[in-house]
Amino acid sequence: MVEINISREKCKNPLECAICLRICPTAVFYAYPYKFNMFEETPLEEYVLTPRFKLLCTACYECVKLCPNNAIEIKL
Amino acid sequence: MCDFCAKHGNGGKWYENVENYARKMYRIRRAGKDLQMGDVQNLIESILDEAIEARGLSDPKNYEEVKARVESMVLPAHFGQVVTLEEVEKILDIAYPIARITCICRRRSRGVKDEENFFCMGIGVGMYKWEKWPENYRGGIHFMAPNEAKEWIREVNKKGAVHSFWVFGTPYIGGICNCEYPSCIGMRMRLDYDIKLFMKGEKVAQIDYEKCNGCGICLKRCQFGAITYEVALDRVSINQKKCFGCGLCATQCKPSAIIMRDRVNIPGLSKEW
Repeated sequence: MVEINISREKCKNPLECAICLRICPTAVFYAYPYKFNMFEETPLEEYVLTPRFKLLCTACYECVKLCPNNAIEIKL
Repeated sequence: MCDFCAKHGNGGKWYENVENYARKMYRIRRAGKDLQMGDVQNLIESILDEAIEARGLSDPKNYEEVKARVESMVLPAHFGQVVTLEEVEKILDIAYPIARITCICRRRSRGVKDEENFFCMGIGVGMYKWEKWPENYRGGIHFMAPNEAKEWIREVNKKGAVHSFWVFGTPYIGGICNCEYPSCIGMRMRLDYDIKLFMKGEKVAQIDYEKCNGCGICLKRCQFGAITYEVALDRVSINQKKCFGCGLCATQCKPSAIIMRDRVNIPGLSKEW
């Protein structure tokens, strides 16, 4: 299985950037509010990117190539 | 679905029963007993993650156990069922108010910006207090007149979105989603992980071989991979086992060669949801 590591220090605002979210052929990524509170709007900076559907990753390396912050790492 | 229609249908289809759009108005909330929608959302998210994990470990026994747990949790709380355009229009005649809101799935799985993300439709009194949940209220809300809503839904149908209605505490129906694979999490869980968060509709598509001219427009519209083109026959063929009954193929079929049949009248499919 492919292992995807995303550095939280480097990936600050996944929804603002959204490059990997959009280009992934199998839509592996998912951004969610880290501290979900239903009575507050989570600021975009507090959204965290995760490779939720990593089972579907084909290791095409598009996200690694295109990430402006080099935050994504793929291990085979 | 059969047992839902029997239980909540009042003699008909359960989504055509007016009661299921009004329950919240009359429900007496008991302190501490009712789960809030936000909690349910969180619980479901975490249990879905568990299912995805279990699938990844390729331990079939464990996966079946997790799957059963997810489904027992989702069925009384929050799941969707596919409906055709005509059925959505019927729902829009029953439910009020109707509002367009931003789609949570598209935001989170494809990073769609709020301004371009008004794909979900909230129906019923819940919409009047939607702003109480700021995280889901993101981008705001557009209230629509029923006619306006129907016109809009026809437009998204033309673009190719699958309609489904969603319950928020079964059997209260509170929303209509207009989805596509892979950005819709419900569809994804169903198609990739076989978790029934997203149910098949009451209809099934069937091809009329006399009328089909093999143009293949329906091929592009099927989100479920149920339609294939048969080269030798110059016709398309619809795999009814894979068909979810969204009717997208039928709405754009120029020679009207696709008939939407009732699932319950097809013995081999009547129990497949």
